Amino acid sequence: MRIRSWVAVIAGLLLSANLWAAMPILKGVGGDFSLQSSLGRQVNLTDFRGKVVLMFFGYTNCADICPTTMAHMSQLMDRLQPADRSRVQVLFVSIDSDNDTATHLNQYLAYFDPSFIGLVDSQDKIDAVAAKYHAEYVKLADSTVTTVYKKLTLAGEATDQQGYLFSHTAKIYVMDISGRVRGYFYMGTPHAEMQSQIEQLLQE
Amino acid sequence: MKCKLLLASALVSVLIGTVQAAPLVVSEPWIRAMPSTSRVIPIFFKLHNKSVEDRALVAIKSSRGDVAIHETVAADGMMKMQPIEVLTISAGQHVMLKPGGYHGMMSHFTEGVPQEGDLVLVTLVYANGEEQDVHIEVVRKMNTGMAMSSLATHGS
Amino acid sequence: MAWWSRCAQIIVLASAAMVATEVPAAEQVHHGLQAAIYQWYGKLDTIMNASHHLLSIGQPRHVGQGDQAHVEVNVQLESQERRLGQSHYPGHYEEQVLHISGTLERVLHSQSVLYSLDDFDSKYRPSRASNLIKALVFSWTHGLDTYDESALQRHLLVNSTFVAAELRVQKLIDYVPYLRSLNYLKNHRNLNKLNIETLNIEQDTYRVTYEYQWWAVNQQGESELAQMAVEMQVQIIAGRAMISLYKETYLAPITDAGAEVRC
Repeated sequence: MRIRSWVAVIAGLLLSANLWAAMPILKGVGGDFSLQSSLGRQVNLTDFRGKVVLMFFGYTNCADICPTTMAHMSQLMDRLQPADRSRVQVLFVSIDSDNDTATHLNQYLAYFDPSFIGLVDSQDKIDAVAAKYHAEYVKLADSTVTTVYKKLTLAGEATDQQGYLFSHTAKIYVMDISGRVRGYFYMGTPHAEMQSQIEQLLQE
Repeated sequence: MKCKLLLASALVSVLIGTVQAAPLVVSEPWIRAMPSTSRVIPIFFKLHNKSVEDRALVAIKSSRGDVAIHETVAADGMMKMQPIEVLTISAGQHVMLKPGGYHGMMSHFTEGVPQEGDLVLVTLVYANGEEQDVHIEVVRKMNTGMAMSSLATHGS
Repeated sequence: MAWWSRCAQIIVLASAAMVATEVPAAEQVHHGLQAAIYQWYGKLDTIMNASHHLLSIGQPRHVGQGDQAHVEVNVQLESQERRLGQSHYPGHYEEQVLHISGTLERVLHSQSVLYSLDDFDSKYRPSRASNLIKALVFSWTHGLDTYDESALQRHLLVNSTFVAAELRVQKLIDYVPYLRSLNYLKNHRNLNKLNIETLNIEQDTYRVTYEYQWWAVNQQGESELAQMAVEMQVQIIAGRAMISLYKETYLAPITDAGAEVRC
């Protein structure tokens, strides 16, 4: 009995105490931007003041990292209290302007969570945002891409555009309620840690 | 769940006797359910080489689409998926095809994007010419927890 | 154990270890002190035509009182005196106690406490340029940490190029006021990835690159973290390394090294 009550006390402490220190404000990375979105309208980072923004750079023709990350974030959203969930915005910035249309992106993201917003714009605008966030990405050279992948074209559309693979950062940028970058999550970051950090940021 | 798995491996063990080469045991297979508009879907499973020889997976085939074997690698602070020609499974070892690592990438769907609940037949092709059929279920599960409901079968 | 669970454990450990970005005061390297030590050995290299490769610098100790008050630091080094006409000859390992002014700005004298001749021959490796350049880099960093505008100005050659990471800062004279305007309660730069390459041996010019991890506490008590890449072009003139080009750019701060590779 005594042991059991100690266990309860320790468990209580673990739950109440925040296991993760506050995320520092990261300087020299991030900043406001304005891009076309899967909602069919222009979206500004400033639209999400008061919310924690989780932003990821990816492309929908990505079979592993991107869906794994999106699934991870969708699962995170399910864990959050409804009040907190409404104050968390997931943004998916497409680095594949050739293949990811707003409609395609919308269908893709809605599958993971209807609240997720996709951002897709001209290559130079995306590049400018990626540069601000130091979100390096590289379109891989032909030689490293399989024939199967090269054949990948816009579904049902007559086009000679080919699919390609990207090398890109797997970071999920975590932005606080003032739009400042506070750190990064990854597809392997435990949900408990993400949740705790987000709750802390929402209380600031 | 454990019982089912035991049963599956028992079934595979029985099948060993009927074929010449020692088989590779496929377990924990799953295909990530993706939107119906998706152009790619990933295939994951664990391959255990119970033989005394190294084995090499050289291709994955399916009537539902083209499949390439890919590897997710991290380099220069970035992640990328790159095709691999041969996936070697050393004698007695196992290789995981899992999120963030090796995976099969299916594209060019012949009957549309396999949907949640579909059982997709894929054929694993080894360097020695042997082929192994596996039925893999499309699950909308997230990253945690492994789907154990699919049954791996062996043939040649 | 499932991969994700293993991975999760590693990340928890990693994040527990990484969140503390502040270096405890006792372990913080005093950049001014380091600058004084490297300048001392760079000067010895020049005068003695010898090399002094510092292996380690100990913790400073405050000794003496009143007029006698000074700081002592133990250093370990490998040194070699140059012998003309020979390519290989023995060097020696030395431990010295440095007596340093109370302000940590100047080495007053050194005293050998251990001297051991190598029992093997080695090629002469010069250290003058790297000692003088390290002295410059540490002194410059100390100037930034302490908002010492005149110290920073002393390191710049006339007609030098200065590019700050902050676009609003155009010149060095705008830099210190900008740093002050941040009103940090605390701030410290950790230096890493220092690399020195010779540009022109006759002109004694070098290209120096390194990174700053700049940690600070702002007026609101929040921690701030910046990562910067620094590039310098340096010329050694009259026993001092001087800057002809200084350029810093922001990098994405690393808060959890290796986290993305683990999964």
